[in-house]
Amino acid sequence: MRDITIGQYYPEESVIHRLDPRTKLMGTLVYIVVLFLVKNPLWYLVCLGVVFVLYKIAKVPFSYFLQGLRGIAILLIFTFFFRMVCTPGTAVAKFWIFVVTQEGIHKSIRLTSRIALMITGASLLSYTTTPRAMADGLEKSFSFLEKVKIPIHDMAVIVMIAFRFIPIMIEETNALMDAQAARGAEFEHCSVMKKCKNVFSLLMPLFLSSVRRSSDLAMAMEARGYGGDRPSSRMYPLVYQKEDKIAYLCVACFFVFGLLVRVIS
Amino acid sequence: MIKMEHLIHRYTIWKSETEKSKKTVLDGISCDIPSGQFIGILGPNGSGKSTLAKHMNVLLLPDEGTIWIDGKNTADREKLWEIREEVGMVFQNPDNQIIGTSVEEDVAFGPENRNLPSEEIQRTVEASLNAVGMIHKRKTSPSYLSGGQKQRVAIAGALAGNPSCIVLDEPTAMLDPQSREEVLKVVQYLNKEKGITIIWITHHTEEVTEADQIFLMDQGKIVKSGSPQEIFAQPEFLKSIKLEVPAITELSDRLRQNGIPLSNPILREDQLIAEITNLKHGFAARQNERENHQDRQKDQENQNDQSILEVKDISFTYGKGTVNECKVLENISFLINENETVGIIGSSGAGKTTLIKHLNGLLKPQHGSIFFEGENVNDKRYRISKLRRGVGLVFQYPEQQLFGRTVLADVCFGPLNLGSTKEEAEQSAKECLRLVGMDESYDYVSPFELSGGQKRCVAIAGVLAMKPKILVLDEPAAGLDPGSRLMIFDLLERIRKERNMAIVLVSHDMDEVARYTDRVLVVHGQKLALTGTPQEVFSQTKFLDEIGIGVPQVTSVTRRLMDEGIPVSHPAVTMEEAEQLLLENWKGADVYA
Repeated sequence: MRDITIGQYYPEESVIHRLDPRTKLMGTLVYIVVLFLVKNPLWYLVCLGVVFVLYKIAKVPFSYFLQGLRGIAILLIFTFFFRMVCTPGTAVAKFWIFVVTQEGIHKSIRLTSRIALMITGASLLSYTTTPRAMADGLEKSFSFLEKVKIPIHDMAVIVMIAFRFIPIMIEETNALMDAQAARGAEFEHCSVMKKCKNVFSLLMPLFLSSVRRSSDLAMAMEARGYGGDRPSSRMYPLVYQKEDKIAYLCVACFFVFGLLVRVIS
Repeated sequence: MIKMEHLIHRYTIWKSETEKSKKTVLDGISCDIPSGQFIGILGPNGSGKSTLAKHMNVLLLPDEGTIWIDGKNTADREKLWEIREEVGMVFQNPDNQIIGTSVEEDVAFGPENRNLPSEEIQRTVEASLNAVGMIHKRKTSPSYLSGGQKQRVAIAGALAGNPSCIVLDEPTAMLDPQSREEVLKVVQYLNKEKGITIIWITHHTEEVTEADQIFLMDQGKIVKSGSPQEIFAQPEFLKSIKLEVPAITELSDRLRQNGIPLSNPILREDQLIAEITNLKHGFAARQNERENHQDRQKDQENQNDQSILEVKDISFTYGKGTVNECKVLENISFLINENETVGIIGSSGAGKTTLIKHLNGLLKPQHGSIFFEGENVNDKRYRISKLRRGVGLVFQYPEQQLFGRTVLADVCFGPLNLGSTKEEAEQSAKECLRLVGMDESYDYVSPFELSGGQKRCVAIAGVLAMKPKILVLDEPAAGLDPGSRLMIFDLLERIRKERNMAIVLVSHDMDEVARYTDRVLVVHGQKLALTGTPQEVFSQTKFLDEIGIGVPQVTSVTRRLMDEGIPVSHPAVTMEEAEQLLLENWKGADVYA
């Protein structure tokens, strides 16, 4: 139970894993923008190639590439189908109440591959970045919002505490389920009414213990000098390395490529 | 370092929705703590120890009186962060004070808040982790650490603030004896080698026998202060405020009262051994008590052979077939007889909890079988609710499972789940509440308003109300102060007598096991390593030490005395036995003179 991970980090030593999370976030953003810039489905093959190469560099196995798609398979199928039958234009085929049009086929292929490519690209980000690093990257990237009084630093602390406590709470829930089951509570084979009542026997203690935990934790944090608005530093601050500069260059090139494709077509 | 003058603190409590009243928790505390000392603060629950600790870190401010930390008044708001840097805090629950998702990240939390440059943070973190011996785990996630290791990380976290004083508020209350020792050693090292003032708050008297000074607290006052020698020379006084006396001191005190001239008090095992060895000539040569001992064992064996539960050859592996496969139990067999108390001991993570989950069917054995009242519970036709009803399971910290609006409603939960009518359930619940010593006035009180010990009694009643034939308890006394602990064990004795039940007790505290059980099972390396009476099991001192369980302190003392040639027939397991064995052959000091 201790191995519950949030996100799907794939531990490996690679250039992409080592990159600054901000670089990766920027890269993903640009990649998605480019996907929307290019129109011709052929160019998507190029994007697919790029993603493949990146997976290869990151040493993330191909099965993970597919795993990202499996989760949204139903969404993809629906998108494909409805785009195909709901676009007006020259009819190609007809069955029952559905009319498949030429434009429909075109559009559905484009939209489906765009979503699929977006997901696989974004998955790579989560495979190569720990949740903690991601939170750090987001904090740093959005720190300009502090100026307009949005408490980004506090949010980052909250995220960090969540990462620490979710496994503890899951363990606690399991212990409680065992304890209540030992008192005859059923959580599976019983009526809905009964189930609700039994789930309440878990929620109430869990709620109380969370309140207790948070008050303890607040005390411990205060004792260690956490004061909310005081300036703080980092043990490992995010610093751009040489690799990041190269990566930014690549990202920029990719962006220009996308623009050019758009302008030419 | 810390000076207090007539410190008073009051909490506001809501008597009802509108009415509030003040409760005085600290009632005029005055003391002066010099730098570099190891101070022990002892007191039962509710004596105001934790409140006092919070004042030392400005987590609370005094209502009256003043407290100075290194000359700085805590009421001075501008000095707040300076004082917090001066005094580090470590709290009771290891899980609720670790903030980081990795060890080093957590230790860095303090320095990061002080806005130090990165290189300095890295240096401080490394130094702090080195000081507590946790540097090899720096990248590990805290959820993979043992309780003792987590507390050491918490100490490193306090240390990273570079404090001149560390206040530890019951840091060992939730730990097993091995971890407790591990944490105490680290703190003693910091005190001696780094000169850090330590304020160690606890209700375990044996932890502070080497302190420089001890403050005894009761009902918001310091009722006594002095060196350990002075404090422990009056065991009666300690008992009067519901604290226990260290086993060594207690034993030597009993012997002294029976005429063996020992100094008062004796705090260390070595001292006791040395003093008794010096009096060697006062003891007569050993006679034939050995037989006696064996007779007693036979008696016990013959007493009952009516088994209710039979565990036969069970094995269990977690995560079978996955990468995380982990074998926990292998070919374990034992019997549980009517009306006996069985102790299960083993080091942390030896599989004790997994084993007891099998006893009432929360886990099914992957191999082997379990027979309850002669029926195989693995049989497809067997109704598991029968086993659930027959074997009551009380988990660690059972008070956390309370959820009912009233005590009575909570206790009724079990019987109602098993299909009793409301009247039956209430009847049974009331009976059980009376049995655990909760009278009628508590029936309609919310369980959350009770004290820790009372909550635990209610939780035990909640399992008892299902009328089990066997009661299994996982560390029933964990985290309680000595008064409540005694209450729980008295209660278990009473339950066993009145209900004629078998009790299975899982514990880390060997003194408890020796005192309250008839038979002991030692789980080690997935198997049952030893079984037998406490006398038989604890005579394997060497083996138990090797596997990190240890033996009761009196056993270790009597064994060492035997080695020194004192006529003691066998290693004792309880205080009374040790006293009796030593006095049997005592002829008097005048013989020696």
